[in-house]
Amino acid sequence: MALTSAEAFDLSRWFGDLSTELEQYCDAQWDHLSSDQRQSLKNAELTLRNTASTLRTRAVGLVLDETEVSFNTLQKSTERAKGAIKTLKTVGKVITVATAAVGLAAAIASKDVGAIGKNAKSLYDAATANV
Amino acid sequence: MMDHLPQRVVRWRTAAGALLIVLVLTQGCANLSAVREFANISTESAQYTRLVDDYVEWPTSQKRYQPPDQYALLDHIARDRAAQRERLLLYHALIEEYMDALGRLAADEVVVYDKELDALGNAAKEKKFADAKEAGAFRAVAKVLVKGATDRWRQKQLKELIATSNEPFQVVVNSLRVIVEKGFAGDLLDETAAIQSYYRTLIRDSRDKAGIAALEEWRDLHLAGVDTQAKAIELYARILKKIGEGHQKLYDGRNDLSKELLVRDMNRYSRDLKLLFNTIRTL
Repeated sequence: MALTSAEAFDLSRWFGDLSTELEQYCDAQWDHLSSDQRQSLKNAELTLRNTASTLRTRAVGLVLDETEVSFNTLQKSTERAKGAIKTLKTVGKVITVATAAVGLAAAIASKDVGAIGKNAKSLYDAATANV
Repeated sequence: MMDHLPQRVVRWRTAAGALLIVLVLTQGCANLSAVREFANISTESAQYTRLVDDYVEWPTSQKRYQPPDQYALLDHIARDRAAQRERLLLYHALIEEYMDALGRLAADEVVVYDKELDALGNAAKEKKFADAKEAGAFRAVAKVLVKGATDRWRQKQLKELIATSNEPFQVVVNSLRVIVEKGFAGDLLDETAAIQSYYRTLIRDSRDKAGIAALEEWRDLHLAGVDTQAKAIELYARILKKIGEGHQKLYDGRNDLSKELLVRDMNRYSRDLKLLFNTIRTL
């Protein structure tokens, strides 16, 4: 059975606490322990503490894995929202195009060929300009 | 006199119709400053990534309390954490980007069409479609209509964003909080124990009183550093909790985002977040 992030965090804490208890026991019994026993207990203390770190690192990775679907969903929503903001900005472009169109309409109404060409170019420039 | 009556009726109807449209559209101009404020401080808070760096560097920093035969294992943990770094930063970045988009949709200044609308009014006047007075009125009405229409559209987008995002947002924010509370804080619990153990052994083996005093000072200095980090972790976990709760409030009140009670709640969340964030920056 695969380990969950919550289980990995619990195990990590359990190993960490065990390491601390071992260290406190070692300290309290120091004068009654042989050199080999002291060394052995110190090694066990470090091994347990580093096992706790390994499990904690694994737990963090599991949290990231377990929430990947939600992460991707939120990422898509955020991209959509950014698209909506961009759309709002393009409304400004629509109005600019409308302004240019007013000029072209007037030129067409006046049948001024030169003005039609000039205003048509303005409209084209407005429509194709970057927002 | 009788001939003019239908024309006047038509004018009045047209004017009344235009007024109605303006009134309907301007109803969309809600005050979303509280939402914007909350989004802005949340965006700023999500940029705080120092704790991720501490988490990644932590195994290497622990070498000072451990014998060389443990270095290979610590290096292995450090490599695993380095591989997680980008993903952790992406969580921060996503919360930041999401809140930024939320704030922009709640902002008044996102779209300023005044320049374009003035140009449109002037163009209408210059091309003799309207006299100066009419062009001014045309400009004014066009501004209200465009703002009303875009505000209404924007609020619809904002409401939809909050509605569709709340569930994944809560999961993402909560998962980062769990990582901070259990992962980052767990490191510090172990580091405290490691410091105590390391200095206890050194002090026990020492016969030099001055040396013992110096070792005790170093130990206290390291423990104080861990305490500061622990305070930052506790504050950041609270920040993430507030961001999640604030977004939940927005979700619950999404149908009327300018409602007085919701505005009051959001202002309170913003104040709390600012206080927490200002405190964490001083650490």
